This record gives sequence, structure tokens and C-alpha cells, in this order.
Amino acid sequence: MYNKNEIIHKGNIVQAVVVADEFEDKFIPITNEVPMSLLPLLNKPLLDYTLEFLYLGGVEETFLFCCSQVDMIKEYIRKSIEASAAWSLNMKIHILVSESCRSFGDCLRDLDAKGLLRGDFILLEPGVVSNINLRPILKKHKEVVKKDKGAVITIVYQKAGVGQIGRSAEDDIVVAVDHNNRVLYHKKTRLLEDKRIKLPVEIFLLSDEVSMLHNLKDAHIAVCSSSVLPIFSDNFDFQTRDDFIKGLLMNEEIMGSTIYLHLIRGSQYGGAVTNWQNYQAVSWELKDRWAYPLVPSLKENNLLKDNVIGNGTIVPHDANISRCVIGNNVVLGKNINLEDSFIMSNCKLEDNVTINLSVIGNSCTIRKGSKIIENTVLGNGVNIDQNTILKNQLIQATKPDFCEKEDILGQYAFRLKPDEDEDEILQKLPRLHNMKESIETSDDGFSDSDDENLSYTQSPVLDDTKLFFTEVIDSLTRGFEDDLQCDNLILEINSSRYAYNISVKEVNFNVIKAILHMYLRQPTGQRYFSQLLSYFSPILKNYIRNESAMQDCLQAIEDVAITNEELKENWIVFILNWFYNENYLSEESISNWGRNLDQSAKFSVQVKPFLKWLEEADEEE
Amino acid sequence: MATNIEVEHNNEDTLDVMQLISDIKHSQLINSYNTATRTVDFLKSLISEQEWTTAQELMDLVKKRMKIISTSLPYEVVSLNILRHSLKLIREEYRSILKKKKGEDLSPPQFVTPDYREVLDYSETLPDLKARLLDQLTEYKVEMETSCENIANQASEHIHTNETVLTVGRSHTVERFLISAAKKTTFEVIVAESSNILEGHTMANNLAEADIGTTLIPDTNVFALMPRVNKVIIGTDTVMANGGLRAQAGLYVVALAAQHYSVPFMALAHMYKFTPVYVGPHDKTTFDLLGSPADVLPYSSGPMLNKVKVFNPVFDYIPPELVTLIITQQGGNAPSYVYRILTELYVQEDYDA
Amino acid sequence: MDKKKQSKEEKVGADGLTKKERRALKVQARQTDDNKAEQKNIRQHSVPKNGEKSEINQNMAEKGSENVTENGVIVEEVKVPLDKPESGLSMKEKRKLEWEKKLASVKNENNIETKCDQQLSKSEQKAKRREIQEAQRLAKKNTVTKNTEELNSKISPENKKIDSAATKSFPAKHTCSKRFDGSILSPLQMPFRDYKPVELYDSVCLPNIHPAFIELGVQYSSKTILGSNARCISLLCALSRLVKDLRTPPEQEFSRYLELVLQKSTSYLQKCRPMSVSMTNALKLFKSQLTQIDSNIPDEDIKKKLLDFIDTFIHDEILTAGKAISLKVLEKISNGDIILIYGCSSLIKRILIEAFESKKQFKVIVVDNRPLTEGVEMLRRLTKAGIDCTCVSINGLRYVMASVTKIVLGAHSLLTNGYVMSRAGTSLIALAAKAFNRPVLVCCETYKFSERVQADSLVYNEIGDPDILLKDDTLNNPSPMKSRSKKRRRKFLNLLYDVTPAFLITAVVTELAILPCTSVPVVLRVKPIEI
Repeated sequence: MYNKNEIIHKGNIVQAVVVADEFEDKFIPITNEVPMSLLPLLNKPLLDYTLEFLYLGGVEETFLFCCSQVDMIKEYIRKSIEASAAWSLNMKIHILVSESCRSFGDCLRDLDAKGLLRGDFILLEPGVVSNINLRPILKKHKEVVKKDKGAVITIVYQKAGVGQIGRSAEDDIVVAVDHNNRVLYHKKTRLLEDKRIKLPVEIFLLSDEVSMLHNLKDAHIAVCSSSVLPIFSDNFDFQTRDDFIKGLLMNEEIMGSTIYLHLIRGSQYGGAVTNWQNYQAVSWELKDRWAYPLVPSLKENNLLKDNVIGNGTIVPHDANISRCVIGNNVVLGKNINLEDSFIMSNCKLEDNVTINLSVIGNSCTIRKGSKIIENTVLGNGVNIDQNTILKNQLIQATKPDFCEKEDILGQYAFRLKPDEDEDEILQKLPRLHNMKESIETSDDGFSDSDDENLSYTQSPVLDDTKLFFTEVIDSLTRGFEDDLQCDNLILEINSSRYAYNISVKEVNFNVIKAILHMYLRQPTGQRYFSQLLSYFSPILKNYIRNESAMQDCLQAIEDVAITNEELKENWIVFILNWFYNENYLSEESISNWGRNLDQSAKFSVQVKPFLKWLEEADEEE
Repeated sequence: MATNIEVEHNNEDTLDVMQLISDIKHSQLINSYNTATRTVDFLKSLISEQEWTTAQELMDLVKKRMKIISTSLPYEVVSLNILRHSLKLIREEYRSILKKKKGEDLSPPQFVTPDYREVLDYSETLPDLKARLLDQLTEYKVEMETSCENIANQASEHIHTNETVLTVGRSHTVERFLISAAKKTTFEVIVAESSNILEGHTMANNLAEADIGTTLIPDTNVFALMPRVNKVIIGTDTVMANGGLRAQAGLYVVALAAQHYSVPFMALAHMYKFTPVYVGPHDKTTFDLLGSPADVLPYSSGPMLNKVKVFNPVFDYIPPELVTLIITQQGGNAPSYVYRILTELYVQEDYDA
Repeated sequence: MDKKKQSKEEKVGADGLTKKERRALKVQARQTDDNKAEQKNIRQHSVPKNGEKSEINQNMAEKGSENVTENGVIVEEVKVPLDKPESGLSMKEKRKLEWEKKLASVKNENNIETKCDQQLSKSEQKAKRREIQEAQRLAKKNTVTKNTEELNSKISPENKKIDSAATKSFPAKHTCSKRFDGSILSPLQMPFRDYKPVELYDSVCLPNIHPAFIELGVQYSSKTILGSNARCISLLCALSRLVKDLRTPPEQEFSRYLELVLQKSTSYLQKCRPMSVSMTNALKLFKSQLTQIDSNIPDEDIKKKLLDFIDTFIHDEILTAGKAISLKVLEKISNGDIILIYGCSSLIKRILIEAFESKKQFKVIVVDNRPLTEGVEMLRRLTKAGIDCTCVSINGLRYVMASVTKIVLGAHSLLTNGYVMSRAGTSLIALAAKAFNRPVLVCCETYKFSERVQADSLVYNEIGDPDILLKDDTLNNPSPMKSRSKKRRRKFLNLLYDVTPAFLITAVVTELAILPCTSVPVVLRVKPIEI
């Protein structure tokens, strides 16, 4: 019979480690009371899916590492074993507790100290739901280790298209691998500044075939060799698995450890609940049976159109519900609107309540007419009064330590303001997807469109542009003083342009601006000005060639005029006239520009007479 | 600190069936034959290790487990059928022992089915019931093991020289059937990939390795090639009481195409696949098990998946009018005869268990 | 050019010809030799392969001899399409002709200039060599295979294979288009399919074919352009480019010259992928238009007329017809419908999107097929338009069929006996629909109606790439059929089309009317062949 008192250590038993806590407070305030692993996913605790997956995958012994609310987890495991849950029959569970761990890395260091693991093991980050068969991956890892002694970890990824809800922006990665699937470069795209990747040259020197992959989704599963835990112990700054990967890649020569990648194929699926966005994605994917044969045990009465309704919950006829998961024994009032939300068990929603893109914890009460919208999270047991509107808030039932008067919404409703800057924490909680919006990748998002949308007067001037501008002024000044050929000046300007990577529009704009500024430095009258302009006419001819360039020129004139308010009106008119007479600017372009001017601005008043004259001139012709 | 879980099992007596259910659910048992043997072993351990005194108690134990299985695994039939069959075996053994005891004729005349409406309360304690049951079960297991061979031996009766046989996906029974026929005649096989593509490829591979000329086609080509096919031979998941089949998804259209071209459509089935469940013409509930959508649209299809619902049904229902022959170890039968076979396998009152 | 010829001479054995032979050929070339042309005609007439009719043949019956020649060319393994010698042309004029063609194409592609020059002379030589070969065909078959160009060298080993497999009764030598000769051999007893998609580098050196056509050929064979409307429109676009760029050589008639060039180009396309019915019908009409044009008017005017014709054709027969069909189907779609469609048909897509834009409320179920997975593309477009879609594969037909209200299918062509030729799998859908008593509408423009009759799907079909069946990135494990053992026992068959019997179809929607399937011959008769 089944003897649970012995821990049997066999040499080749398949072991797995599940770190059951995420340490980044992603799910507060609900996780203030409920451990993250017991968050209900389609009305069943998350841990249940993880354990069933491990059992399915062929794991025989699991170590569950818990750091908070351990009693609840223990109680849950006990109950499941009593009820003969499938995974409990052939898989041993050991719960390891450590109250002092503050990060994933700390847990692994603790585990290393305990020395419970022998050989290779499966390492799961919190919240994994998957149907992968783990034994072949283990086997492959062993083979890889045979060939490459330094291989320590095989990370499991799944191919997923950009824009799919299951592929979270937080976890978006770019990976470079060689033909053996050895990881050469690994970077999370949200940590990249301005979307640029700097690839170290070494990766191309090491291997003759490098693939760059951006079509990956992290399954948060890894197969680790026995040397992984000591590495964590040696490096106290490794807090997360990403630190580990980054550290290993940076110090490859020193540590001599390599990382490998495994891509799962076919009907294998791996997903992890790491934030509310993923929670939503994994819920729907689980319902759509992507993790078959790991399927939610939903009966016919649990499904209502595209919603999941728990047992004991009665949905009134006039309820307007779409894409929601409602827990067990929830009482719903009349005329409620629920969209893209998650309502946990034993809640009470009264009449006329609207909930949109929000999460309501267990046993909450929401009174008539309230609106809970835009990524609000209600903790367990919160009571919301009538006609309250909550947008983008975190509400919990017990009074937090630092609570101002305005944050008290009721006897059991307190707004949670985290210690850090509010923006940061809200950024940390990636939004629930608004499924109504079409999440489409733009097919034509090329850089040209970005340039065209630059608004000169509003966008902050980049340093590069400033530098370019100063250089242009320098070249032009020098050129004018030394009487250099304009062709050479054009060459200089172009080379500066390439050096600073300036777009065509900016070049036009800045060149005209530079010429005008040159005059402004020494305003010695119109004759000098026209001399200047005619000297630079080849340059003008070169840069003002088409309609858009004309617009740039006009923009430059406007810009200079506005920023130098002491300029006289006739100066502006003179310039416009000069450009017009020399045929650099066409009537059309000036008229169009004139029409688009801000009519209330002083500048427009100054320009009006000229425009009027132009129109009249047009009509005469 | 590490803590080990110490829990007392309250329901230790249903532990065995939970184990069985878990094994079946998580596909630790690859095909129906494995499930069948596993169930027989389960039964044996049930009979030998559980506490019971009368036949009635034993039957109650079995019925209880049947109920648990049917609630946890609504699509599982093999286990249920074997357990149902065991109920019949129990009754038979009981009767024969009783009759022997009372000195009556040992066995009823062959052409008369024993009348189970005779009220027998099965509550007498018969000491050798256990032993005899275990013997019966061992015999039954042997019968199962040879069933595949028996079916395969009939192959040469059905496949002529130079014929073209169409099969869909993979069935161990069909594989052995065709390989056995290939020993005596030469013929060609067309394998349609089916919904589980890997299985189709494995089947084609195995047949080719056995030196049978095999052509692999995608399922869409079935209609185009049907005029060239002489027979369609498939395996099935279940045979329903009305003679219809619950088979792998995709076989329905193949059956329609076969009917259109008047090509005989033959199903190979072991006895434990016969289910006393009657399917009406519009009954859908038995068959809406859906598999992973990745078989239809891969996960990497991108943001389109946010909006598209994907269905990948596992089963198809083939009505009896499309089926020409159902071949069991006892020989071939028309679908209209299935109800008679059922009476030989199970007792009427257990049909709904 | 002489220099190049000299360099040719130094390359002994490259063509497989000895110096003497080449010189002899050159001597012949200098003579104006009508007899040679006639001889060639006669010899090529005597070369027909029985039962070997490509699609072009059936539809271009008026060009019988040349098609036979075409076949002869192909069987002879010298795959470069040759000029069909018109009886009026002399060798010299022919050479000039080719030279002019060269000039025309050189204007477009400078980088292939020099190569083409070489090729030109080479192909000239080939023309002459052909005559010798015809006479000594039986003896010199194998050496000729070595003489072929890059494109041909790829194909000739296959031909050897075919020879050795001893299927004389089955003379399929086309690389891509196959025909089942069901009466003699079961298709399953045929040797491994010789399917090889035409690669770009093979095609670059093809002489005398407009680059638009070369590009088109590669796009067809790699299935970049898929779908009968798309293929037809792209063909017509290439054709208009050809017409624009064509410069008639002096003393040549524009129409004749164009016909010649067109012949070569289309035979090349045929090799890349057998032409669809839409393409052949369009070409037929174009050619008839060409013959009708008064050849006394200046070239520019002829060109203008032809270009106008092409534009009108695309506009009337394809685009406007599509619109008309869409309107007709729109009337038949009611709110709350669940429409089942199959694969990716541009016409069906248009119908659904326009119906959705006219505020009809319906849902769509897309049935996907393997191995082409066209359904995915259709899904993308429909979801982008905002239509509520569901996806199943053929295996899931029974599961969804009960809730489907109507089925709308596209077609590759409609045959004269009312049967519908469409993507493989359509007939299964029609069968299931019949079993569940659901209406099946086939939408097809009238220009796709064909005069052919077919009773089953095998007498005329197209084989797709068999290796595509082995693609296993969507499988959990690699496919075991990739194994090399017992190779001759492993065969793959991937038919692209099948023929659905008329009684399974409820109605055909054309731009003229909604008709029963059997009215196809009536339409063909009514529709003017000459526009």
C-alpha cells in the first residue's frame, strides 16, 4: 500500500522542484491572504494544474517550495490526497518551507543547502500550466550533457506569434542560438532601450550558424543539472532565473557553463501565470483545451456562451456577461454587466453593477450601481458601497499600514497605495487584455511613417539633432566667410547628416533654420540678407526639391519667427517673398501652409498680409 | 524544514479504481488492448483482495466502481464493458455452482439463453465462487490476447490478390490484420493521414517495413482515390448497440465516400468494444470530446488565435447503414446483428450500469 | 558573336558535339533552307506520344501539330521550348527573329545579356541538332541528355529513372504534370513521383522568355501564387507586360511574332505548373482576339487594343463577375446563418467580406485542409475584417455540420457534365452536406467553365509536392515516414484537385444567374467565344 512516511531516494527517480511563490507582489491584494499557488484558475487552484502536469509529464517526486501562507498550501495538499487526486497516487509531494526567502534565487540556495536533489531535475517557476511530456526532454538534456560537459540547464520555450494573448509582453525575449540549440544571447525586450539589440561579436565567432529567434514564449520550465543549485549558492546576486541566464552568458569563459534551449512542438503547450495578463491568457487557453489532456473539469452547466460559471451560481436572464470567469456560489443581481473579468467564489453582486477588466476576490460584496472598471483588483472580503466607481485601483479589506483618510472607502474597503511610486506599481501589473480590441500587428509599421509623424514644434529635440544643427551652422558660417563652394558645403552637411542619422525632413528643416540663424546673428539689413541667401542658393536648390521639402522650409521659417519674437513683421514677409520669387516655394505650398497655421498666433497675423497678396496675385493670373 | 505529508486514506477501498482512472485518463495506457488487460488485472485484484462474501456483494462492488469510472471518464468504454462482462460472468458462475449444488443439469441447452429474469438473489455464500471467477478471468484474459490474432487470421478471407485497401490512421488491429494478409497475398494499401497525423505516418511506416506497398495520402484525397479502392478497413473505438461505430474523427466522410462508390466498409473490433449504448440519429452528447486545437491550427499562428474558435473533435459517429461488416474474433457480422452479440456479452439489466 | 562561336568551339564536349558537327551546323545555318524547315515539321509530326495530352492541347486544338511538337520536345528531354518553325520562315529569318527577341528582353535585364547571347547561339545550334537527333533518336538518346542546359540536366536523370522503371505504357515525362492512365496501371503501382519544383536559378538562363513569365513560372511552381483567379490575373498582367515590351523584328508581323513568343512562354509555364482552366480560357480568348485584329494597323495600335482587351477581360470576367456573384449570394445569406467554407478562395472571401459590410449577421466556419493549410490564410483575412470565425479540419466535419445552415464553395472550374473541379476535399464536404441535407452553393465565374468532361477525379489531376506531407513542425515528433529503408514500398500521393459530382451540388452561382450544375454546357454555348 501507499506509505507516505518514507522518502525514497532512488538514483534515477524523476524529480521536480516547484517554487510556489512569486516574490514580486504581482497579485496583491489577493495574495495578501491567499498564496499565489492557490489562486483559482477556472475555479480550481492553480497548484492542482501544476501538480497534474508534473504527474502527466512523468515526474515521480516533487518538492514544493513555499514561503508564505504555508498552512493553506499544506491543508490543500492534504485534502487532495484524501480525495485521491490523480497526481497524488503515484507522485510524492514534499513541502519545503522557508519564511526567510525573498526571491527565487534565495529558494534555490536554500534547496541547495538541504541537498535533497540528486542529478537532473525539473525546475518550475510559479504558476506553470502545461501538458508537456517531460521525460523526453530530460533524456535529451542528458544527451546534451554528454556532448557538452558544461551544459547546466535546458530551458523550454514554445513558439508563439506576436500579439497572441498567451505571449506576454513582460516576458518577451530575443534569443540567439546555434544549430545545437545552445543559447548564445538572451535578452528580455522590455529591458532594451529604444528597441536596439547589441549583439556581441563573440557569438558569431563561436559558431558558424546562428539563429535569432523572436517568436518564442517562455514556458517557465527548465531541466537543470545538479550544478545549477551550487551556482545559485555561489552567486548571491542571482535573484531570478533571468539573472542566472544573464550571468551565465556574460561569464561564459569563467564559469564554463552553457545553456540550451528546447522548443516544444505540436500539441505541447506551456504557460505560466505570472501576472494578471497571463492569468487571463492561461484561463482562456486552458478552457480552449490547448493543454489537452490537461483539461478543466467543466460540465455543461459550467459553460455559458464564452464564459465559465462556477457551481452553484445562477446567472439571471438579463445579465450581460461576456468572456468572464465566475466562481462558485456567486450571487448575481439584476441587470449586471460583466466583461473580461474574473469574479471569485462566494461573491455577491447586487443590481446594476458593472465590472469591466477587473478581478474581484473571494467573498466580496458589491452594492447597487457600482462600477468596477479598468484593471481594478479587489482583495478578498472587500465591501464596496453603492454607486462607487473604481478605476484602476487596488482595494483590500483590511486597513493597510499607511493609509490616508481619502483611501478609506468603507469599513472593509481600503485603497492600497504601495510604497513605491504609484506609476511603477501600476506598470508592474500588466493590463488585462481588452478582448474587444483587435490586437493586430501593424503590417506597415516601417520607420518612414515614424519620421513623418514628427512634429517639429512639439517633439523634444534630440541631442543628435542639436549637434547636427550646430554643425550645419558652423559649416555654413565657415563656408560663407571663406567663400567656399556650395557643393562642398552640401557634402559636409550630408556627411553630418549620416553621422547623426538625421532624417531627410530634419535635414531640410535644419538647413533652412541654420541659414536663417546665420542672418539673425548679424542682422545688418535686408541687403546682407539677400546676399546671404543668394550665396546659399545652390544649397537651397539642393534641399528644397519637392513639396514636402517646401513644407519643411516653411516650417523652419515659422519656427525661427516664433522663437525670435523680436523679429519684425516685414522680415518674415521679406523672406517669404524672396523664397517665392526665387521659385523655391510654390504658391500652392505657401497657401496650404498658410491655411494650416494656428490662426490665433501672432505669427499668423504677421503672415496674413503676404498670404492675402499671394491669393490676389493668383487670381490676377 | 521539510515536511512530509501524512494522511490517512478514508476511502481506501476506492483507491484502486482511482488508480485505474488516473492511468486511463493520462494515457499511460496507450491503446484499448492495454486498457482492457489493465482492467482485467484490476478486476482480479478486486476479487481477490476486497472483502465480499456473496455474489451480490461482489456485484455491488463492481457496480460501484463502474459508476465512479463513468462519472470520471464519460468517454471511456473498454473498462466499463469489461466490468459489465464480468457481471455476467459472476452470474453465470453463480448459477452453475448453484445448479451443480442442487444436482440439476450443469448447463442449459445451448440454444436457450439462461433466463436471468428468474429471481435469484445471488446472496448465497459459495466458497468456490472466488476461485472459479479468478479462473474465468484468466481465461478471459487469454481470450483477449488471442483475439487480435484471431482477427488477423481472418484477413486472407477478406483480401484478394492485387486489391487496394484503404485504411485511415493507426489501429494495431488493422495493422496486424494487413500484415497477416500480406503473408499470403500481395496487395496495396493506401493510408490516409487522419486527424492524428503522426499516427497515420506511423501506420504507413509500419506497413512499409512489413514489405507492403503503402501509399500515404492526405485525408482530403480520399474521395478522389475511392474509385480505385476495393475495400476500406478500419479500426474503431467502440461499436454501438445499433451497429453504428464510434470511431476516430474523419472516418465519417470516408464512410460516406465509400458508400458513394459502393466500396465495402469494414470495421475490426474486439469483443470488449461492443457497448450496449444505443445512439439515436441526432445524438451528439456521446461524441463531443474535443482534443487540443493545436492539431488544427498550431499555437504559433499568431494573434488570429485570440479571435478564432478551434474545434478538434476526437470521435466521429458512423451510422450502421454505412458499415458493411464488423469483424470480430468470432467472424464477420452485419451491423444489424450487433444487438444479438450484446446479449451474449452482457446481461440486460446491466446495460445502464 | 563570331568570337563567342569560336569560344564555343574551344569548349569541346560541352554540348557533346564534335567540332565537325558544329561546323556542319553552321554551314547549314547560313543557307536559306526551307526544306530543312519542312523536314523538321514532318519529323516532329511523326513523334507524337499517344495519350499524352496536356491541358493546352485539349483547348488549343487548332494548333494540333505544334502541340504534338511540344510533346515531342518534352519527351526528347531537351526542355528548352523551341520556336515552332512556321513554314514561311527561313533559318536566317529565324535567327534574326531570335536576335530581335534578345534585344527586347535585354532592355529589361541587362545582366543576362551576355549569357543570353550565348544561349541564343546555343539554342540555334540546338534547333539544328534537333534535326539530327530526330533522325538518330534511338541511338543517341543518352548523349542528348548530357547536352541539355542546366534546367534540363536536372530533369534528365529523372527521365532515365523513368525509362528504367519500364513503364512504357505510361509515358508521363512531364516533371510536374502527371496523368493517371488508370486503364493500364493502378496509380499506386507507378514509380515514385518525379516532382521537382522549378528553381529560380534554373530559370534565369532561359532564353527568349520575358522575365515576367520567368518570375511567374517560379511563383507558380513554389505555390506563391495559389488560386485560379490569382493565377489568371497574374498571367494576364505578365502578358500585358510582354505585349508592351515586344518589339517586332523587321519584316515580321506583330501578331505572328507575338503568337510565337506566347507559345514559348506558355509552354514554359506549363512546365512549371500545369495551367489552370482559368488561365487556358483566358489565353484562348486572347489568342482569338489576336487573330481577329486587323494586322494592317500599326503595331502601337494593335498593342493598345490587346492591352485594352486584357484590361477589359480582367475587369469584366473576373472583377465585375465577382461583384455580381457576391450580390447574388448576398441575397441568399440571412441573418443568423452559419456558413461553412473550405480552403481559401478569393471569390468566397470577397463574398463574405462584402456580406459582412452590408451588416448581415452571420458566422463562418472555415474548414482547413492539409497539407496546403489554405484555411489559415482565409482565417487571417476574415478575422481582420471582423467576421466571427471558427476553424475545424476535414475530420471535424460531422461535429459542425449539424449547426451549419449553408455551405459556400469556390471552384477551380466547372466541367461540361456539371461536375465541379475544385480543391481536393471539396467532394467530402459536399457528401457530408448531402447527408445532413444542407444546401451547397458553388460560386464560379463563367470564364472558368471548361469544355472538358470528367467522370472521376483521377483521369485528370495534378500532383502536388509529396514532400510536403512529411513536413512535421506541427507534430510532436518527427514523422517516421522519412525513413530511408524499404524506400520503394513507401509512396506518397498528394492530389491537388478532386471532382465533385453534380447531384451533390444544390446550385452554381455565376454572374449570369444562379444555375443548376447541369446548365454549364448551356452557358458555354450562350457565352460568346469571340469578344
